[in-house]
Amino acid sequence: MATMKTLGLAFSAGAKCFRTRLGLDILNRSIPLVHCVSVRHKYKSSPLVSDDPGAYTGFEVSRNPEEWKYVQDLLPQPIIKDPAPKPEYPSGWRPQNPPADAPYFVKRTANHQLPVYMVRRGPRGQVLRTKVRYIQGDIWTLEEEIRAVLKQVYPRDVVQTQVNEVAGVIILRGDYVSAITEYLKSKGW
Amino acid sequence: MLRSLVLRALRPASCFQNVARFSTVTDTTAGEVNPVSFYGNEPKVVSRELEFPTNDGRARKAWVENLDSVAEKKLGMVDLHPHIFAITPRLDIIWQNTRWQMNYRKVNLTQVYSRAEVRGGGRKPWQQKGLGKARHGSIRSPIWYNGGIAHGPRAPTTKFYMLPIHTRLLGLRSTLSAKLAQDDLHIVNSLDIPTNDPGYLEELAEERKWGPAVLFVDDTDVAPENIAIAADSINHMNIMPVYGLNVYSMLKHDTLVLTLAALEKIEKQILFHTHRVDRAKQNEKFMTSSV
Repeated sequence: MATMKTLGLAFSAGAKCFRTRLGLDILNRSIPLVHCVSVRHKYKSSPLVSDDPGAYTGFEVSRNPEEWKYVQDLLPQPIIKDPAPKPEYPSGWRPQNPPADAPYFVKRTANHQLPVYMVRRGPRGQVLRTKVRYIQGDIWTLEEEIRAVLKQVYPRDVVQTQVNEVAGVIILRGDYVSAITEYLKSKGW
Repeated sequence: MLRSLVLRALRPASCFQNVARFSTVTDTTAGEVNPVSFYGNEPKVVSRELEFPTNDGRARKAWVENLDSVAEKKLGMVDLHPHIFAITPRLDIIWQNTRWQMNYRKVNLTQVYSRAEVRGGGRKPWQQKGLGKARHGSIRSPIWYNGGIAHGPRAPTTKFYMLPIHTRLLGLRSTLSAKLAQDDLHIVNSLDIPTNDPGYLEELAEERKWGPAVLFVDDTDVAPENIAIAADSINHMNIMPVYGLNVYSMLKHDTLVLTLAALEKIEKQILFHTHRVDRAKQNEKFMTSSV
């Protein structure tokens, strides 16, 4: 249909030129400019497939708030909500349950995950660093604990750490994400 | 109903949209709840619901003060969100924000002549061969005295860049935390003052040991008439709406004065951006065409 319309426009323009060439009055708008609808909104100007309403999928407009709840569940949420409390989660995720007497605090990320990351740097990502973020309070105690844990898990490794007290970040040389995550989880962080 | 009436008395001029989150008591119930000593029969703000409550043991509170008398009256106490007002200030992030604010608006207009723009030099100064001299094609080549400049500055060069949104947010949070820790952050119920005399503001700042530079922040961009006239003739006292709050101005002024409504809006905005779902999209590279 759109093609036909374009052709129609082209035809009418061509007819105009033809008339001009013949010395006819251009301002005499006797040319039937039927197809002067913009071709941009193609779907609106297209004809219906069928005039019979029964040929289309039926629908009804509902303004029931009970039904609207199901629609709302499908809409994207603007804000990351707290997960619904359950005794156990299939992914193994657990909500934070911090120990009362710890001299430090490890904040969860906005996505409720532990802030332990592996960072790849250097040529072709060969340099591995483990980064623990969002540590508040006595960061040095946590560093000692992490070192002790890694000494147990990896007795042959020489664990090297870098502590940024202002930013609340501990960086370890090597990939220790799993061990540190497990340790923090076991402590309730 | 009682609460809304009480709050209307507390903040008469503007902004009723967020007031329901402040809970207040009158003198009749003060003995049970309120740790604040009272002045007369005025209602007191005692607590505030915080979105995204924290469990890290940090808590910050601030007095709610008044501006309608030179002497300070404590109208109550509000909770401040620890993630905004109690973080360890990152001086590096504050500096990044300041540098960004100083630079992104700059356009370098320095320009020097290139070899094409220096007058003359179109003719080969001497023939290529036979003279025993070095080969030259133009007397305005960069190696010539009075020649053009190679790779010189070309105008206009914009210094525009965007800090990542989370660096900007952390800058705001760091600065607000630093201001609170240094006792330079004050919460007031409203910006209404009884007179438009600039001396009143100066006297008030002197009495309360504010300033000398004071930044008043309200949630609307229409300030009450008296304070607008009074602050207009004092160069170091300025009024700003919430959407204009920035790290540079907070550092430039010694004291930051927030209204309750402004505090509410600042917290709401910062918490929304730190907890929004599409944060990964926010981290995408900034394109000027996408504004």
